Amino acid sequence: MRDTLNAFLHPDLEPIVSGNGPLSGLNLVVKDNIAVQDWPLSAASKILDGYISPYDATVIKKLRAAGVTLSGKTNLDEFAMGSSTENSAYGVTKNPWNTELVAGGSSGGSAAAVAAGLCDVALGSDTGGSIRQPAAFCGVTGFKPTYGSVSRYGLIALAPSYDVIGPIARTAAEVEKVFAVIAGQDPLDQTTIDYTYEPTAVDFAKLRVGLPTDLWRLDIDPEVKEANQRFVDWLKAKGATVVDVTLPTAPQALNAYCIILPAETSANLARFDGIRFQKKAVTEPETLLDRYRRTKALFGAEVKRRILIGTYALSVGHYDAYYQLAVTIQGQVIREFEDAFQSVDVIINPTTPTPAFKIGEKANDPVAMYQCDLLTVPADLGLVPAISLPVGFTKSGLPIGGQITAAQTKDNLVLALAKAFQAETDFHTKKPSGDFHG
Amino acid sequence: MTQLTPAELDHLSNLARLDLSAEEKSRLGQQLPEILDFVDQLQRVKLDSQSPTKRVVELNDLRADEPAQTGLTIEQIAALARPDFHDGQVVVPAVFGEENA
Repeated sequence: MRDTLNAFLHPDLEPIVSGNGPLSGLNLVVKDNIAVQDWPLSAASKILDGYISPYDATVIKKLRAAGVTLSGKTNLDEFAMGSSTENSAYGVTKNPWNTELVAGGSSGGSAAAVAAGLCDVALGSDTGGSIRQPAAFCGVTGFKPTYGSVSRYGLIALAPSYDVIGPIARTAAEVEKVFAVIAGQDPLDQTTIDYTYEPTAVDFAKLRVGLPTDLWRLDIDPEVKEANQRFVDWLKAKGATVVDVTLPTAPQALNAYCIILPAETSANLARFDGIRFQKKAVTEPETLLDRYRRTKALFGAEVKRRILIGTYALSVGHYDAYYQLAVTIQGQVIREFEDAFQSVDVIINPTTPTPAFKIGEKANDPVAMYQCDLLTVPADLGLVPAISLPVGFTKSGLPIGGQITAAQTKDNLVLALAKAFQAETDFHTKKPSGDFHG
Repeated sequence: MTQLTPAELDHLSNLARLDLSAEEKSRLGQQLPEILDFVDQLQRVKLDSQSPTKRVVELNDLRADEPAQTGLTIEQIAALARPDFHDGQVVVPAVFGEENA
């Protein structure tokens, strides 16, 4: 598929129409770090240029059986490392609401394609916010399921301890339809849990909503905060009980993530050895180590940064001070979520500290870019389900995302509440103007 | 402020098997300490009594290895995944350099 936002990679792919099933007619696109048999699989990296996947990811197998039409592959930050798709080796994806702004990332192509009306549903992957942050920036609904509820088989690993595949669509109802199909235990993914999706309904009279003060008091754009406050007011008006909760370690979840993710990724990316996945190599004499080093030069700047940080954190003398401490802090984040969900059913906070920012604005400041994930990372470390849905617009017309989080395996409650909100509001129905077909 | 000397950066890039250009070394020499300072904010976290944690994700029991049921022949995989094949074997460069030959 061709488009004017650079949301799609490999634009000449022909759609694959599956047989009849519950999702027949659904036009679905796939983030290009998920394997579709006979289609290219690039992870937006030069290192996989020319690679064609010999097999389907488990989620793709399930979606084909359900009858979807696969209509293209979407752009992302290289190996899903980033919050803006500016790290794609194939160029940035523009935000359909304002093409001078980023679409978010790493699933920026998926979120932009949905917002621009180029597909019904897009698959993304979330490790630190890569589904929810671009969904918030593009004014669509993006769902990160409970860790382990969806198979990672056929997803190129970023940080396997957090990676999870999830759908992005205009409505929570469409997200739910796709999640119900892709969820479930898979013998090919050792970390999947025994899980079957069962829808539920929200009883507002009994619903207990928690506002994590530790996150709300962080540096958040006033318009983003106000729109989310109105979302909370809506919940109160519906009869829900709203209380403050504490997640004392959540603000440091991002710091822990910035150690664990590079540590895992520095190990995972070692497999790109210049032999298994690359085109025929150069003809000059070389050793295996020459080939290895020459191949790794193809990685982009952010990937190299994370490999080096991961190598540092895992090296002798740093392991305890960095990696072990980060894992300990993750354990604490999980316990704090468990404690909070003893007294409330859902937790509400903004998805992102700001609306979409300008292309290039944070490109040379890695730490500023990491901070885009400040409010989404806690759910990844906590292994809990979370959704971002449109809850308002800035005065300049940019979408604002609100986030609903629930306890592990309460994905149905997250989706039910998002559906209930969308049944009574129209933020999710607003569309950017223009024709984005290429 | 975390310091990273040029020699330490060289050691790190060697451990990671990454060849860095002079421009990359100059940029990373500034950015990596900034990132390390950022993650060092972890030292401020008050640890609870259940620390430390060794592993947070429980793995299912390992299953026995079995061949993947892709239905593809080795030749088809070779054509798709594009490693160098010869007589059903993957062709790789010499493991040892000439000095070791």
